[in-house]
Order: sequence, then C-alpha cells, then structure tokens
Amino acid sequence: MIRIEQLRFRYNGGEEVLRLDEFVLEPEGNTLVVGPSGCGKTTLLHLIAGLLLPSSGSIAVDGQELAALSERARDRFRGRHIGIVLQQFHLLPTLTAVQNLLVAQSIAGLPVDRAGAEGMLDALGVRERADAYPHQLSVGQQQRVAIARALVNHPKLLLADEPTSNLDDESCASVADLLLSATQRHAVSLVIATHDTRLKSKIPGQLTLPRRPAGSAASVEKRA
Amino acid sequence: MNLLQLAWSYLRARPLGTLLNVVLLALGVGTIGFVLIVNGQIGESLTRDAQGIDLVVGAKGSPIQLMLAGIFHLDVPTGNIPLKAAQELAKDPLIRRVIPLSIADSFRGFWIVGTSPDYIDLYHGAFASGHVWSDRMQAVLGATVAAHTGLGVGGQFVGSHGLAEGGPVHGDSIYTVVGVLKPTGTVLDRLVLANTESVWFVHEGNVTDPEEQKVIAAERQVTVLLVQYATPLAAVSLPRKINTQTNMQAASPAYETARLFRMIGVGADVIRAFGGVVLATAALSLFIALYHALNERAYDIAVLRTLGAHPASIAQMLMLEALILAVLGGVAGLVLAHALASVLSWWMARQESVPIDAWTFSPEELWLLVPSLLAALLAALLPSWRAAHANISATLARRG
Repeated sequence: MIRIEQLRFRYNGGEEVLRLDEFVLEPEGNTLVVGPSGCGKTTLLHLIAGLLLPSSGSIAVDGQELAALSERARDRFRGRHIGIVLQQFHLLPTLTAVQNLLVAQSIAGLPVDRAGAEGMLDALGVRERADAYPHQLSVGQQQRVAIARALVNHPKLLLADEPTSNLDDESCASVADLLLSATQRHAVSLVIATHDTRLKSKIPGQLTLPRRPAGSAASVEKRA
Repeated sequence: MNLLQLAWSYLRARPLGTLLNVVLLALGVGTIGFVLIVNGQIGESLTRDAQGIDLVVGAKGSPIQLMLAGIFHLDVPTGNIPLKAAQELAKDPLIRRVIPLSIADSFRGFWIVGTSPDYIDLYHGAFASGHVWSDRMQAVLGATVAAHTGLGVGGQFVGSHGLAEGGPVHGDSIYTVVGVLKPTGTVLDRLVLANTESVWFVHEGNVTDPEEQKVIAAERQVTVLLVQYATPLAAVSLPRKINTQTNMQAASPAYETARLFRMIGVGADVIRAFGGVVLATAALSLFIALYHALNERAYDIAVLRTLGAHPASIAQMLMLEALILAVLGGVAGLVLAHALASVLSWWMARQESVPIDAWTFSPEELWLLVPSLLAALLAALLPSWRAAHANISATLARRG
C-alpha cells in the first residue's frame, strides 16, 4: 500500500528533518509510526498524504508515485484514496455531522450520496446525530463523525495523527478499537503516528523514527 | 454540499457580520443608484417636456426662470410681453410655428394656461373625454389635474390669481370644463388649458364700450412664446436678434437645461461621491471580515485540504462568500435606491413638481451591481490568495 525509498525531507533550505531509507506497508496492513517528539512523525504522515513533497527519494501510495502527480491531481488522489484523522478530530463547525461527510464527497469530486454518508455514520454508531452541529456533539461523537468522514469516500489508506494523545485510557482504547474495526471492515490500511505507548499493545507493526538525523548538511552537499 | 453551500454556511454562522457587510454594500449601491434613478427620471421628464421647442421667448429676466416657467411650469414667469411684439416675431421667416402661452392664474395649485390647440398637439395630447375649446371660458384639464380635482366634462371652477391656493379669486369668471386629456407623461398633465382670450377676459372683465375695447386690445399681452424654427440656421441668428433688437428675451431650452443640470449636478456628484465612500468602507469591512475569517478558519481550511480540496477551491470558497454578500448587498441596494426615489417622488408630487416614476426597473440598473461585485472581489483578493497559499502542513502540525 505504501512504498517509501531513500526518503529525505527538509524545509526550504533548512536542515534535514526526516530520513527514511526504506519502508513498505502491505495492503490492509496496519502500522504505528513512533519515535520521540520532533522526530518527524507528523511530517512523514503529511508526506504520505501528499501535503508535503519529499526533497528527494520516492513515496508511492497504492502504486502511485505522489511526486509524479500535478498538484491538482495529488489533491484529488488524496481526496479519493486517503482518509485523514487529525488529533483534534476537527469537524467543520458550520456544517452538521452528515454535511461534514457530504462535503468530503463533494470536494473529492465524487457524487454526493447522502445515503452512503448516513450509512457510514451508522457504521460508527452516530447515525441519529446526523443533523447535529459539532458543538452539539460530545467529544466521543465528534471522534466517530471524524472517522466516518475519513472513511466516507472508501479510501485505501487511513492516516491518523496522534488520535489518542489527549485522551484518558478508556477513550484511548475505544478510539483505537474504532479505528481498527472500521479499517478492518472496510479493508483499509491504517497508519497511526503517535508517541502514545498505550497503542503498542493494539497494533504490533511499528515504524520507529530516530531522532533528527545528525550530519544531514554533509549528506546534502554530497548530493549536490 | 458544494463550495457555494459551504460558503453560505460560514456566512450563516456569523449573521451579524454578514448583516453588517450587506447593509454597508446596500447603502453604497443604494446611494449611487438613487442619484442615477432620480437624475435619469428628471432628465427624461425634462427632455420630454422640452421636446419640439427650439426657443422660449418672454419678458427679460433670468433665462433659467423663463425656461422653468415657460416650459416646465415650475416657476413664476419673468413677466409679460406685448401681443404686438409677439405677432411681429411670428412673421419672421426663420420661424415655423409660435405657440403663445398666457400664464396668470391657477386652479388648486395648477397653472391655467391660455394658449392655442397647437400646445396640446406639441405633446401629442389626446382626449380622454370631451373636446378642445371652441369659445372663451372653456377649459381642458390635464390628466393629473382631473384626477386631483375630481372635475370632469361639464364641471365648473374659477381661477385664483397667482399660483398660491387661496389667493384673490376671479369669482365672476367661471370656467366650464369641455375636455379632459389622457396622461402624456409631460407637463401637459399638470396644466389647465383654455384659449388665450379666456385669460384676457378674466382680467379685463366684460367690456362693452367699443372705444375702451380698442384701447384694451392695443395693450394686450402674452407671457411666453414657444418657438419652433423653420430651419436649423435660425439657431444662429434668431436668439441674438431677439435679445438685442427687442424688449424680449430668448432662451434655448437645450442650453438652459444643460446649464441647470450643471448646477444641480454638483449636488448629485456630492451624493454620488458619498455613495462611493460608503462602498469603499464596505469593501474595507468585507476585507477585514475575510482576513479575520482566514485566521479563524486556518484549521478548517487545512482540514478541507486534507479532504482533497485544491488551493484554488479554497480561494474560490472565500471569493464565493464575498460574491454572495455582493449580490445580496447589491440587490438590497437597488431596492433601497428605488425606495429612496419613491420617497422623493411622493414629496415632489406634493409640490406639483416633475413626476418621478420610482419603481420602474431598467435593465441598465444591473450595472449597479458591478461596483458592489468589484468591491467584493477586491476585498476577497488578498485573503483568497493567502488561503490558497497557506502552509497546510504547518497549520496542522501547530495544533498537533
């Protein structure tokens, strides 16, 4: 599902913040991306999502080399094939729960399918809250709606960025279970970037990123 | 749930800010539109009234006053001119037709004009009922006069001297209505017409002594002559000739109307400029709102990008928000402009002044939406650009 080779990333002219020589995730596989704070977990997630482009090396998602796509095509690819769950489970505050799902369909260029959206809310147990606005939902309900939104376009890959870091043990377990059961049911690969050790028991596959690579300046010069 | 609905959801989420921007845009468009409508209506009305009249001749005085009194009947006349001089002038080969007007009295605030049937033809007047006068003291009423006074054919009335109601009444000279005109949209609607002899008769009384009749006849006067040229060349020499060689004054309606409009125009420009300032304020307010929204919604925008939204779509969403406001504000402004015009129209109707048709919408008015749309586009330009170029990864990482 994901194939990464000789990945290097640095911000414009800055020092290298991420280095990953090889990583492969099989279809329907799950993995945690772990490592100390500042090691580039979120950056890696954004690179896989095509929100950032590698400085060098390659990332292919579902066989598609992201850097080879135009910006517009990459946005579309992300909309259709990659679901993203953010730490805050951020829902668009001016839209109802179901509208948050419909907007995801519309933005991805897919037909707006209310029945499909309600079905996805149902799968996550929040169908009866479809017409509620985010501020009317409990935190748990917001998480479920956000996960439903990430899955509504039936992506092949779900990326979650620190989904449990602010949660107590009980909520952490329930979110992890939700993510796992939802991705398993829909045959979706799952990548969770986290420093939350509580998740390690749930997901055996792990990619550990080292601390910021030292001596990166030298490697840059070598390449030049 | 497309971009338009998304943009609308954000506008709906902050109703007060949305209302403020719509109101500001509406005030700007409304003010400019009001000037445009009123200017246009008055201009059209004055042009209709002055149609076919090449020259106004009357007693010496202010040429604008002569024109206002002689054509538009909005002012008191500058005085009278001797009938003999008028008849002399009518013989001039440069002149095709002369319509005499004798203006002295009024009926319930409407001028009574002694004239010839030519005057009705000049404005293509047609009879709703009755016919033109065949003898003195027979009156034809304009449509507005008939509607306001309730008089019809066979009705009788007396004139009062001057325009003010309750002035000295010519109680012994009774007019009988013999005809009522259909509305023409011209000054004719607001006049009471009779033959010139009627006006003389009212002021001379019934003189029977032949010697006295002769003396009076020699001193007869008219107020204004409406002149049509026989040839365009007359415009070159005739006004100068009248102004220098006679005791009369000649004024060109086209020239004097233009002069009048230049004078009023300063006021119109001031109002228009005010409208422009309001519109600029609206643009600024809109800009601040959108710019603010940009910071407030940075994370929302980032989320939209993670859902696959292209930067151009994000820019489009902010543009759409501005455009929705522009259209709402522009349409509200058009309605406001017409509402203001109708207030003015009501006030001017009470003054028996130029009629304004406040609720006629012309397609050209849609151009008034242009400044509103321009203001919105201008205001949205920078915020949209910034939204499209925001560093999504950084925004997401900051909260994460």
